[in-house]
Amino acid sequence: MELVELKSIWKKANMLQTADHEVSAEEVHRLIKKRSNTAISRIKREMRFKIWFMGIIGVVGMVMSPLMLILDVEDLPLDGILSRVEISILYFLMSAIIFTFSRLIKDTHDKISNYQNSSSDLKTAIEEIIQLMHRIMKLAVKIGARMSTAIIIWIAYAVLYKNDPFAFDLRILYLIAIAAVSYKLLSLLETWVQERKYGKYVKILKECRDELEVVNNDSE
Amino acid sequence: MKKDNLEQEFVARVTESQGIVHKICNIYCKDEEHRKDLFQEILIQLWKSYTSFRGEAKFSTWMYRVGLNVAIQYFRKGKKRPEETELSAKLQNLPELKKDDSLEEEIRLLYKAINTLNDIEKAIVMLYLEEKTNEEIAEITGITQNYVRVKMNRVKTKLKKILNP
Repeated sequence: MELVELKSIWKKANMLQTADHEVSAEEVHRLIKKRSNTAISRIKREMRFKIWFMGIIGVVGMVMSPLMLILDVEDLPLDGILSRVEISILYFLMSAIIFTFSRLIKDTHDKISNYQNSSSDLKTAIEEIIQLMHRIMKLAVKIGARMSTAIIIWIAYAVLYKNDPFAFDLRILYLIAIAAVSYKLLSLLETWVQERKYGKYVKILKECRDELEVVNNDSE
Repeated sequence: MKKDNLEQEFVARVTESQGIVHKICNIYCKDEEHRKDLFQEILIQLWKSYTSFRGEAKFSTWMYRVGLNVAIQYFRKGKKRPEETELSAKLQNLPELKKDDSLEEEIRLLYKAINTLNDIEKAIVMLYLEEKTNEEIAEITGITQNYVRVKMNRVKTKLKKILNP
């Protein structure tokens, strides 16, 4: 069979297949209302939940922390280790960090929306989506590792300063060491989790991008 | 334009040109289930990006561009990525084909040859079979016309080997 013949066979095959699968305008209407199941749409949905959840926690936390000073709340965690003012500042800072993270997720979410609303050529679209995926994975590592480290530090602080009041002694060094090691280990763990989750997808996209770039190099 | 009017306009244009979406699905999807999923995903993406279509390119060129982007990035959790295309059972049962065994064999051979290509090569060969010019293929894929020629030659050599072993 010659290559020119392929065009006529292709035409005939598509005439038959298209006729077989043709959908009505009503069906098109119905289909565009459905939920997208592409990897990027699923990530976007997960992000929306995190934006709201972390946003609300952040705002409520920032509002509640000064109220702790006014209201007489009993048995707060860290009571006996820190003063009420210190606890209030600590809660405020943690809530502000959570809120900042929700804004960072929102920023990436908006970038995904911009990408979805555009119609770039194949090469640009693949490059854009690879960059977005890297951004999503890095953000997840950053948030996961930092938040988990903060919790570990909190627990370590509570244990180390349980009996003796706060002082600039060896315990500070312990805390720094715990923070550094925890952050490193948690970053590695979160990177591995993200690789497991999206690594295969990114690899396929990179292969496609390389395929388009091989052509560039070949013709130069 | 109001959203309802825009939707009406979009649906009318896409319904008329749906053949493009079917062709992309046929070339990238292994089975009926994948084909349906991909068809839906392409339609959703076409609708999402319809507001960015300003008529700078032909409507069909824009549809190919968006459709191929989705097909290449299509990856569903828990499902294997569609790797090869088969003639659907429905197609094989079409009366027209039953009458013409040689056509059925030729179509089978065509898809067999296309299935040996990677995703990018499939896109390029599909546009070639659709009689798109190198300029249009370059516009859709984002590579230069020279690169399209180089790639096309390579794909043709590959196909020749399969079709004429």
